[in-house]
Amino acid sequence: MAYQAEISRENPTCILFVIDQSGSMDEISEAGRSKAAFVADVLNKTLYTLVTSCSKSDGVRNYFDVGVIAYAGSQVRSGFGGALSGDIVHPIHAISEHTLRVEERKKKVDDGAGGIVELKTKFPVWFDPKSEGGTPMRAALGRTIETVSGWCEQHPRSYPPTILHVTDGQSTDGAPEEMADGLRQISTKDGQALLFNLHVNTAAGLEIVFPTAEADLNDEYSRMLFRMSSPLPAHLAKFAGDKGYAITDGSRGFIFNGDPQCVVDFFEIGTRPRLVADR
Amino acid sequence: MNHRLNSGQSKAAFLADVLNKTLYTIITNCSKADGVRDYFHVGVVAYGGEDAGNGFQGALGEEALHVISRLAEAPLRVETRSKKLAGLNGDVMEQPVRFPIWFEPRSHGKTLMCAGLNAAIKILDQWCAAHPSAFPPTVLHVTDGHPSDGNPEPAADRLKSLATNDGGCLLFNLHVDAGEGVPLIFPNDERAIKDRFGKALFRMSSLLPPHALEAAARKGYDVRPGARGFVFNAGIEAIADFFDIGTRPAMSADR
Repeated sequence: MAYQAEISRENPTCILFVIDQSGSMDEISEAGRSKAAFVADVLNKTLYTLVTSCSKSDGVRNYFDVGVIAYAGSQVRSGFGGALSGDIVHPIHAISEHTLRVEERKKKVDDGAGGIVELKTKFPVWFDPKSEGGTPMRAALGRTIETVSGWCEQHPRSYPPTILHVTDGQSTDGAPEEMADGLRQISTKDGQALLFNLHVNTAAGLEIVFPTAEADLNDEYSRMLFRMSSPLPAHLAKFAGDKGYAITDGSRGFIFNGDPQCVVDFFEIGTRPRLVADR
Repeated sequence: MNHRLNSGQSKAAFLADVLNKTLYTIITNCSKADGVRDYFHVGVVAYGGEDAGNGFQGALGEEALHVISRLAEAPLRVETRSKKLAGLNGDVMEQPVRFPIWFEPRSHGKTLMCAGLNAAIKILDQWCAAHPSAFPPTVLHVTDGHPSDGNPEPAADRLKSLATNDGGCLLFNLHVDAGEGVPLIFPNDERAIKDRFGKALFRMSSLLPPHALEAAARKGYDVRPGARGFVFNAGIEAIADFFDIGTRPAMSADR
């Protein structure tokens, strides 16, 4: 059975975010913010959650190697800045130490007595939104293949890498499907790399979440993204089901026309390889 | 209604807190030197499970409506809650507060919206007949789901057609969403809502009267002419504001 390897400091897993930063990501959504800014917030929050889940009394344990690949125009680059910009993938411990900055944000929460209180919270930022130029998806997935295959060679017994790819449009440097196929064939002894695709949209389209069949989709572009996506392994399928999504055998890690709630859930489900409390 | 909020509380629990706090606020507003003045008659209709019934229990469970001074005397219990306050430097401080409970959250079964509205109609029909020159009744309706007992629009229309000499009953609807969807607060155009059920709730909602429009504007909402007493996809802030704005019929200081 694949996807059973225990995630430990000796055998960490790899989570790679591949983020479209093309010009169309500056479209303003219903909530009055750009898609790029919203995705950046969710990504930063996800990174913080990963750091927190690895924080034990003896420090941040390296259960995860994490990377961000950002692509736009003619560029495919590390989405991290500063000390982390040299390499794509870093141990979570290094990520915890090198934020770009820590912002102070305001958040309204339940005050415990039927009211609302506005609290200030710390919001660490590793990744800044950008949106300009074309959508070099092929080049980005090529870079992802390089990164993932290098990582798998070094970690043959680990839970295989998870790649969360976020885009809002068509590739502008050729068909990405064969690159995605190549990426999903890279494996550790525990199984093949998992590629999950999230297509975000601001238009009032109906979202399609974790579909099971190509026939559920009504255009060639969404059908291609479906074929590019890995089926959800059992533990993630269960987690998605617990969140209220209709999951059937064969549901793919793919969301089309995702609204903000879908974006949040996609990141949460995709970064949920089984974590045991203490190893 | 058993989805979790960020705070870990279920929506039903937060809504119950807001309702209890609202009742307490109304009592406080009616408390004068000579005691609690009966400016309001208050009732709670709860629907879910197999029927629609009285949301009050215990001593208050017998009657559908109570004068506010009676409510003040008979909470189910008084809890001590730890209330979060924002301190200086953004620290969170907690302060114990007394928190009377009249209504307890329940979440099970079907969404018998028509039954709920019909129960309200029965109560308000009698009340309007007994109080022909009073400010007309206000109904705050809270729901999270699609009705499971048919189309609620005719019942909503009937409810709004009940009237005193001062005007028709006001029906305000609060739709509470499970997730982080964008809330739509006091919209004035049905087309702003994509959801078929949301559109129906919009049509079921009364126009915000001037006193509510003013209260909404003071809270910073961009209320346009034709704004309805309706919130779709409410988050916790909108839930609290809906109750606050909806329970402020014009009250002059002393009568």
